[in-house]
Order: sequence, then C-alpha cells, then structure tokens
Amino acid sequence: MDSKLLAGTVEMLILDVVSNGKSYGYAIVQTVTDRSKGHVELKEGSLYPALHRLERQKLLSSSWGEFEGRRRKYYSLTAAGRKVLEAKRQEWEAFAAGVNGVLGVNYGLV
Amino acid sequence: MASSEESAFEEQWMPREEVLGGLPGPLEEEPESLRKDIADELQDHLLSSLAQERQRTVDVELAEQNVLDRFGDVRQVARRLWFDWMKGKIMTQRLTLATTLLTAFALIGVCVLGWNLVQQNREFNSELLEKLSAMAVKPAPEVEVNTSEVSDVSVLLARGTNPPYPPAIGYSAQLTSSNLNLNERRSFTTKSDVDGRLFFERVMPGEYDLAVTTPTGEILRSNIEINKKSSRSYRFRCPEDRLQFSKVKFKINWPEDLDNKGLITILNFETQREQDEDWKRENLPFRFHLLLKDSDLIWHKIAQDELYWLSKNGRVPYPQYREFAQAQELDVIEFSELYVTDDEEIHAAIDLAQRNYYLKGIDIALSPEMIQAEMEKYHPEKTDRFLMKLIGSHVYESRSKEGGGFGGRRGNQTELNKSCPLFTVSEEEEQTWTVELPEELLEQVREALSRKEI
Repeated sequence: MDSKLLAGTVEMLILDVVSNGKSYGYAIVQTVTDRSKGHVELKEGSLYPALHRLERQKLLSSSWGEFEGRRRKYYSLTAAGRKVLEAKRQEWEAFAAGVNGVLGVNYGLV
Repeated sequence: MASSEESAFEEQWMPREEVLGGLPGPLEEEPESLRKDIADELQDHLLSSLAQERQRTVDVELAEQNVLDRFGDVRQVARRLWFDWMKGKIMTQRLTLATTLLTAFALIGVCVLGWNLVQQNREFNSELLEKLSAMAVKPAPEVEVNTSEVSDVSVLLARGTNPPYPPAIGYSAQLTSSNLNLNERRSFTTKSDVDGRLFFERVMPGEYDLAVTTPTGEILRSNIEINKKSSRSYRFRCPEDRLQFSKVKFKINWPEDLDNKGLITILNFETQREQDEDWKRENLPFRFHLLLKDSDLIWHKIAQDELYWLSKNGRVPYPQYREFAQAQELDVIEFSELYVTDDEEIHAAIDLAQRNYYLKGIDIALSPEMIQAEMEKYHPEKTDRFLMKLIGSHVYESRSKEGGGFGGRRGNQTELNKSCPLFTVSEEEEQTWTVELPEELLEQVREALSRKEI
C-alpha cells in the first residue's frame, strides 16, 4: 500500500489495535497485517516512534512484562486515547465515505 | 518457544550495544532506564520478528537479513526514540544553558561596565583629590598683609568751592598704590556714599594715587600718603562743574629789527592750582610748551619729555649729533633738540581750559632751516629731527638756572615766582595772548645774531 495513504492513519490503527487489549510492538504490526489481509503493512521502524509519541501524549500507557527471558513492553489504551480513537474513527469513516462516494464504490459504478 | 541455545544466539545477533550504538553519550537529565528500555523494546521486536522469520526461512543469515530489511536501520530508530524522549529536556537544557549564558554575559557586561564606571569614578575622584590636595597644599597666593600696619582710609568728597560744600555722592574712586613693583601694587575701588564718603579698608602704608571720576566723566587725581596704623580721614573738594575751554591765539611782540627773522620762540607755561583746589585734573596740562616761529604757532609736534639740552656735562641724547655738537663747541653753546618735522603745522589757536596760566620762561632759537646746511655736512641722510640753536633764554622763576633751562620737570606749584606773567583764559570764545619779550632776552638774541654764529 502506498505509504502516503497510510501516513495519516498509523496512529489511528495503533490505537484501534491496542483498544482490544494491551499489546506490544511486534504484535501490533502483525495484527494490522492480518486484519488488513496484507494490504496494510506498518513499516516496523516507524511504528515505535508513533507508539512512543502516543505514550507521551498520554493516549497510551505502557508496562513491562517478560517473555522468554527478555523484557517486553506492553501498551494499553488510556481513556484519553479512547476518546481520540473515537474521534479519529468518525473522521475516517466520513473521509472514507466521501472518498468511496467519489469513487462510486457503494453505487457499483466501478 | 525458542530454546536457551537459540536465545543465547539471538542475543548475540543483536546485542544491546549494537542497538544503542548510534546514541550520544549519557546526559545528566536522561532518565536512568531510557536506554535500557529502548534497547529491550527493539530487541524484543527484532527477536520476535526473527523467530517468526525462521519459521519460513531455514537460512539463519537470510532470516536475519529479512528481519532487518523490514525493520530498517535499528540504530537510527533507537536514536530517534531516544531523541524524541530527550528533545524536551534537551531543548529545556539548551534554553536554560542559553539563558544562563546570556545572563552570565549580561552580568559580565554589567560587571565590566560597573568596573569601568568605578575605575573612571575612582580616577576622577583621584584627579579631583589631587587637585584639591594641590589647592590645599598651595594656597592661593596672597599679598602678605601685616595687620599691625594696615589702616582704614576715609576720604570725604565735597562739591564746589564755596560753603556749604554739599557731599559729592556717587563718585567712583580708585585708590592705587604708587609702588613701582607691579606684583605688590594694590588697588581699591569704591563709590562715595550719601555723605560723600569713600572708605578703603586695610590699606598698607605707602603712597597712593586717588582717582575720582565725577558723574560728568571728569577724572580728578590726587596723591595721598597712608601712614602705618593710623586711620586717617581726608577731605577733598571736587569741582562743581566740568572744565570749560576756550580758543587762545598767541602773538609775539617782536621789535622791528628782529621781526620776520624766522626765529623760534619757545614759551614755557605752567598752570597753578587754585588756592582751594585739591585736584590735578586729568584733562588739564599743568605744564606745556608752545613753539612759535616768528608769531606762528607750530607747537603740536612738541612734547614736554622730548625736549633735551646738550649741556656742558656732555649729555647727548642722540649719539649721531655728538660729532656735530663737538664741532659747534657745545661747551659754550647749548642746543635744544626738538621733535619738529619737516611739515611745520601752523595753528591759529589752541584749546585751553578756562583758568590762570603763568609764563615761566622764554627761549629763543635759530630756526632749523638756519642750521640745516651745517647739519647736512655731518648727517647727509634725511632725518625728521632738527637741532635748533638756542641764542637766548629768560626765566621768570626765582630758582637759579642750574640744572638746565626750561624743558625739564623742574620746579613745582609753590615755586612759581610772582613775577611770572599771568595769562588767563576767560569765558570768551576766542582770545589772544600777547607775549612781551624781556629786553634782556632781546639783547641776547641781537648779540648772537651779530656774532653770526653758524
């Protein structure tokens, strides 16, 4: 998928993934890939800066766990993050509906 | 689940040092666990990804490469994470540092400025102190005043020559020491009060010149002597009115045999203070000389101090005439050297103050033209001075002639002989004084001319 199309949605996707329960970086990437059936692949290097930014914005909280003898960082959605996620979701739905309307996806024009 | 052998291998594959290799050195403000957290999180991701990749790729190196290809530059990601966390603190630190530096520079600048001001102030104060010290060390020069000798001088000015002598009010006066040493010369200035009194304090003993200027501008002078520690009062009467002048013509009564011979007559006049007059007037000559050629007044080029006698004692004021004087046997003939120019100005009359004048003496001389030819033998160069040969002299004063004829500052007011002819300048606008030549003088002239001297 074109990264330019994905740029404005990465944070929303992360928040949405974490909204289902706490998760860690690699798992978030895998979840996005699985849900999008491979159409959306988060660039792994750019995932962590986004995660940390959301954490500093208090939209995500973090905690450390242990897996196979190594430390693992888990992220959870905060109440503020949930509100932002909801807003972004509505915004995206409106945007997608508009784009789909232009493209005639719902009217079978394509 | 990976075995312990695989874990050891995986940790060796991407050790913490490798992950954090792109980070700068630790900072004081940096959270203690930040680097460790970043490294652990990225390591966890890479190892999880590697474990997944190895399920698809048997080749270990290829699996690792695939993981890194998907992830990107691990060091760069770690550095960005670190920097994102530290950015606020770094910016705060930089702002703090900049603020601190600016404050420090400002403080240094203020200190330097203050120091300079202090230094300048200190230098200024030092200079001021030096000046003050110098002034303190060197007190202003003062004329030493011996308080045991000084006197207070009071001068009472009155107007007019007749009682009741009203006070002369508002006359400005200056008392000046006659001391020739200018450094010790003292001067006092004051103005007469409603009683006509001038008051001079702490006056050193000595001779002083008192100059009083009347409201009409006339300057009156008198000499007074201040004695030691003897406060003294002086009384002076000032003229009621300004001096009045009249034009005076002169006529010489020449006998027929001596008339129009070109003879020079020198008249020596002196005025005398009135009996009740205390002043010499600035604008009134006390002695003056008139020079007449025949009966024409040519006196203006003559001044009292410019008259010299070549006497027997060899007094020769102008050395260039000595040779001529010797040739003319000056031991028997006296010469008068006068400042007379070629252009003899003939004056119809002169202005004289209205008062009495006494004729003290008369001298007769040959005119310059008469001796010019002889003069040129010795002094062919042009000169504006002429020697006149004296051929007759008459003195009315009772004093002897010893010490020279007329022309010196001899004699004084009290020595005028009553035989001196009296001439008075009246209020008439123009008047003529006729001078009678004594017979004794005329005989001297006739005798000299008969000897054909020169």
